[in-house]
Amino acid sequence: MSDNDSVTLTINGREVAAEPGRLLIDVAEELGVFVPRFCYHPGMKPVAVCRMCLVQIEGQRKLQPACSTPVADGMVVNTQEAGAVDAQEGMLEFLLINHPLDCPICDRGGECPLQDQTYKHGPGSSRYVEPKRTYEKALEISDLVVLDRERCVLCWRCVRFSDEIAGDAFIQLVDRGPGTQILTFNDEPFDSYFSGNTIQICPVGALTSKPYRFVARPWDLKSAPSVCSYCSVGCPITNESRDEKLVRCQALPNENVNDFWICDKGRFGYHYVDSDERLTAPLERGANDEFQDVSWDHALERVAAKLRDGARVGVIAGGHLTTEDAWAIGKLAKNVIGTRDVDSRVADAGAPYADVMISGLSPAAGSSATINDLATARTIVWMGPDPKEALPVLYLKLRGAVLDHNAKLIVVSPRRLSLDGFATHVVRSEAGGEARAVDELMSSPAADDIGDPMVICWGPSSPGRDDAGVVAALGRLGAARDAKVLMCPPHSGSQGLLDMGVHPSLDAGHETAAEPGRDTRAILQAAADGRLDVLLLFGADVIADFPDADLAGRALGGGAHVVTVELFPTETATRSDVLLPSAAFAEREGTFTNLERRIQKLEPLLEAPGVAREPWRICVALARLLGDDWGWHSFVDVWNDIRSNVRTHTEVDIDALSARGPTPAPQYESGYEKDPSHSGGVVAGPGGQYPKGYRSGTPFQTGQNWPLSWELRGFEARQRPGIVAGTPNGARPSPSGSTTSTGSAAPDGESADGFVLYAGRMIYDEGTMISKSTALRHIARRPFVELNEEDAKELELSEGDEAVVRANGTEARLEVRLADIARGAVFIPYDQKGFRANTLTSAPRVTLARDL
Amino acid sequence: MADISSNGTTKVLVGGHYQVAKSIVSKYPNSRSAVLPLLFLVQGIEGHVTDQGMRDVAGILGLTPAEVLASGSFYTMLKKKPTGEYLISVCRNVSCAHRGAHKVINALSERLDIDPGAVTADGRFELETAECLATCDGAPSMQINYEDFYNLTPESAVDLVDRIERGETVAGERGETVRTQREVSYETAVAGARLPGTAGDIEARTVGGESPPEDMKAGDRPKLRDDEGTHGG
Repeated sequence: MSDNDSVTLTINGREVAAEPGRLLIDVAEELGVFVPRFCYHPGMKPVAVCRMCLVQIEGQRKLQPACSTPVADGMVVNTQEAGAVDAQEGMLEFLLINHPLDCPICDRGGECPLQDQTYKHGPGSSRYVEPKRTYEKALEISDLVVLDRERCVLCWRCVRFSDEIAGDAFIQLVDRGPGTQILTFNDEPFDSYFSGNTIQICPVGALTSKPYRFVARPWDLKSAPSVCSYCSVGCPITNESRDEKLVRCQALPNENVNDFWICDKGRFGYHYVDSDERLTAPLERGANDEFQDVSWDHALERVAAKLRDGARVGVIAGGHLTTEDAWAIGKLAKNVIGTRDVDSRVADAGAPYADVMISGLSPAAGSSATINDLATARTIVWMGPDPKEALPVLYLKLRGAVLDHNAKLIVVSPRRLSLDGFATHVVRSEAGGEARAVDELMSSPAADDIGDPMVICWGPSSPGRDDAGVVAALGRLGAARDAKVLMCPPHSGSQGLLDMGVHPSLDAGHETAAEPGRDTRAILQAAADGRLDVLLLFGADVIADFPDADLAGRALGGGAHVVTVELFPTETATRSDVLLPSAAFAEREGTFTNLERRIQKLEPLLEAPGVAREPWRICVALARLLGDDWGWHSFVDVWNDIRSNVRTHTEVDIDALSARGPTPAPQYESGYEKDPSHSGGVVAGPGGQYPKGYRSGTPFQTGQNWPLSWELRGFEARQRPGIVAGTPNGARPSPSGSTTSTGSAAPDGESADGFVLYAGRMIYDEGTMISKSTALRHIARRPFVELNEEDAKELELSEGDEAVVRANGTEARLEVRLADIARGAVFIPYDQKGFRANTLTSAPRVTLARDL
Repeated sequence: MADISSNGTTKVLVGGHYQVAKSIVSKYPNSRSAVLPLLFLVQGIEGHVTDQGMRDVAGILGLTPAEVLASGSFYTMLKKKPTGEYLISVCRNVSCAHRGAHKVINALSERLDIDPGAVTADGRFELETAECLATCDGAPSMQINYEDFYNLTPESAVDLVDRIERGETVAGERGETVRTQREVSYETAVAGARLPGTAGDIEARTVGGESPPEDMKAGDRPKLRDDEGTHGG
C-alpha cells in the first residue's frame, strides 16, 4: 500500500519505500544495491545510452535501464537475476572490444569505473581477437585537457556536462556507428571554464588532466577535504598530494553549494602552494636595505616594539584569510592594539557591505538567501560582477535556476554579461545609471516577471559603479516584497572577515561600531600622509589590488613601519620592513565562510614550507608580546573564543563541520511531479568522521564505500554540508550609524569629460596566487578595453586598434574591443598580461584616444 | 531564437546565400532545426561541408561549431571532404551482387581509373559502393547523384559515364535529369523553403517539403488528421 508521497517496491527481495518519480538506480543504491553504470551521473539528466544498468523488472518483457526507470508501486526488481547478469557481462565484453588494456599507463588506473566494474561484473575473458580501434594518441584539446579517444566508452558524460551544465557545447560526439568519437571542432580548443569537470566524471581515462598526467597513481596519493581558496562561492574540494607536493584538486559534492562541480581555476590553480617563491622564514629589512632571514622571536619582538606605546596603527587584511585569522586580526587590532582603523576590503575597497544590512535587505552584512534559494526563486535580480568570470560555480547555479527551474532572471548592467544569453530580461543601464535603472525596474517590461520569492544578488562589481546608490535602490526594490539578498563579496575569505568584524564600522557578529574607524582608502591615505606609525598588512597586496595603485605606493613610502604577512614576496611585501611567512590553505586547519555565509572546513594536508605560520598564530604571538595572552593553541581554541564572543556564531558546532552528511541528492529526476523541498535520501551506513589525510581506497577493495566514490575518485560519497552562520537579531542599525566611505569613484554627473570606467575580474588573471600556478598562468589574456561601437566611431577607433587610455596622469595602451556596452562607458579587465588596471581605476572616468 | 538580423562574420553564407539561409531558418519554429538544410546549403555552395561553412551555420543558429560538426558528421550525404561532381553509388548487397554488381563496379573502376571511394583527378567523378538502395527489382542498380539506374551491365554503366563526360543530359529511371552534386545539395537545402523565384521543378521534385503552419511555435507537435493516430479503430 502507498499514498501519494511514497511507493513501495521490492529490490532483490527487499521491500523499500521511495518517493514517486525517483530513479530506480538511486533508490537501489540507497538500499545498498549497486547497479553498475557508466553514463548515469546524479548531477545530470539520465540518457540510458551505456546499457550497463539493465535490470530485470517483473512483468516487463525486456530488461530495463535502472537509470531512466522511475520507481513505481509494486515494482519487483531483480538486479542479480541471470538475464541481468548476462546483460552486464555482455555489455562489458562489448566495451572491452575497443577499450585498450593500457591500465598500467593510464591515469585512471586504480580509480577507474571501467576497471572496477570489469572486475566486479565482467565476464573475465573476451572472445574478441580482432584488432582494436585506434586513434592518434593524446590529443591536447585545450591547455588543460588531454583526450585519448580509443579509451572512450561513449557514455556522453562530457558531452552532457558541457551542454546541460556548463552551456559550453565544445565537446561532442562526432561521426557515427563504429566510428563515433568524442571530439572538439577541428582546431577550436575545449575552452570552457568548467572543462576539468569532464575529467573527473569521465568513467575511463579518455579525458585526462594535462597538469596531472603521469604525476601519480591514485594509491600514492594522500588526500584531505578542503575548500577552494579563490572566490567566495567556496566550493568544497579535495587536496591530493604525492611526496608532499600538491598534485591534484578535485570537486567534492555539496548540494548546497556546488552540486558536483568546480571551475578550472579552482581545479588547476593549486600550484602556487608548492611554488619555490613561497616565503619560508621571517625577513627583516637590514641596514643595507636588503632582507635578511630572522627568527620568529626576533621578528615578532621587533613588530611588537613598534606596536607598543600608543603607536598609530592601521590594519588591512586581504580576502583569502580564514575565519579564524579574521577573528584573531580583529581582536588584535581592536582589543590589543586599540585601533579601529581596520578593514578587509582591498580590491573591493569601499564596497558598501554594511549598507546591505542598513538598507534592510538582510539582517546581516551578508546574504539572507542561500545559493539554493536561487532554484526556488521566481525572480532573480543580478547586480553583481560577471559571475562566469568572478564566481564561476554560482554562474552554473544561476543557469540551472533559469533553465531547469524557470526562475525569471533580470540582469541590470551597462555591459553584456555571460548571463545575458539566458536572462529573461536584460536591462542595459546607462553609464553610471545602475541605481536609476533599478528604481525604474517596476515600470519596465521586466515588472511582469517580478514576483515572490525574489532573490536579489548584489556584489561589488566595479569602481565605476555607485554601489552605495545601487544597494539603496535594491533596498527600495526589495522593501516592497519579501525579498532575500545573496551578497557576493569577491574572495574565499571576504565574508568571514566581515563576520568577524574586520571592518571599520562593523564589529564581529555584525554589530555596528559606535565610533567607526578608517577604511582601507583612509588608512592608506593616512599612511601616505605620514600619520601612521605602523601599517599591518595581512595577505593584502595593496599595490596590486587596491583600486588606486598610486595611493598604495605612496602609503608604503609614507614613513610607516610596514609589516606584511604573506605567502609570496609580492610587490607590496618587498616594500615592507618586516615580512612574515604565512601558511597556505592546503597546509592548515581552518574554515572559509562563503558568500551565503556557509562555514566549511579545510583540513591540513601538507606542512607549511620552512617556518611559515597561520596568520592567527602570528596574531596570538603578537598579542602575548603586547601583554595579552589569549591562550589559543589550536583551531578548537580559536573557535571556543569565537563561539563565546560572536553572537552570530554561538551555535556553530565545529565537530559537525567535519562530520559526513548525506549523499548528495540527484539533480534530475524522471520528470514526475516532485516536491521542491525534497533533499534526497539519507543513506543508512557506516557513520563517523571523515577520513582525514588518507584515501579511502577504491570501492571494491574496502567493501564498505559506496560506489558513487567514483565520482569523487576514491572519496566517500558523503557530503560535508557545512553550517550557515546565524544572523544577528534585534534592531537593525540606522543609516546614520554608518560612515563607510564610498571611495572616490562615484560618477560625478553627466557633464564630466571622458568615459565612465568599469573594471572587472576575468577568471584567469595575474593575481598573486594564480600567477604562481603553472597550469594557469599562461592563460591570462592580453589586456583590452571594451567600447561601444558608436563611441569608437567618434574616436575613429575600430576593433583591434590600440587605444591610449588616460586617467589621473597615467596612461595605458590597450587593444580596442567593440562590445555591447552602454555609450559613455568603457570596461577594462583587472590584471591581464602585463597590465594592472588599478593604475587607472583611481579615477571614475578615463579618456580615450587613438594611439598616434 | 538566434539573431539572424545581421550577417556579421559569416564568410561562406554571405550576400544572396545569407538571404537564402535566413529564409530557411525562418521556416522552423526552433531555429536549430535548420542545421541540416543549412549544411546542405554550404555543400551546394562549396561542394562539400567546409570548416568555415560549419562555423557560419553555427554563427547563424547560435550553436557552437562542435554542435554543428556533431550533426553534420552523422550523415553520409553531407561530405566532409572535397567530392566528385558526380557521385556514382553502386549497390553491392545481396540482390545486386547476385546479378553482377561486382562486374559493374570493376568496369566503372577501370573506366574512371580509380578505386571505389576515390575521386577522379579532374574532380568530375567519385565512385563508391553502396549498401542496399531499396531497388532490388532493378538489380544490379546504382545511383548517380542519387538518381536511380536499374538493370545495369558493365557496358551500360560505362556508357552513362561517357555520356555525362560528353556533356549530354542523362535522366534516371524516373525521368529526372542527373544534376551535379552542388545542384542536388542546393535543392535539398531549399526544399520546402518556398523561396521566391524557386524554379517550379524544384518544388515539384520536393517530396514532403511542406512548410510548417505559420502559427507553429517551438515545441508544437503537428496536429493529427482525423484519420490518423489510431490503429485498428
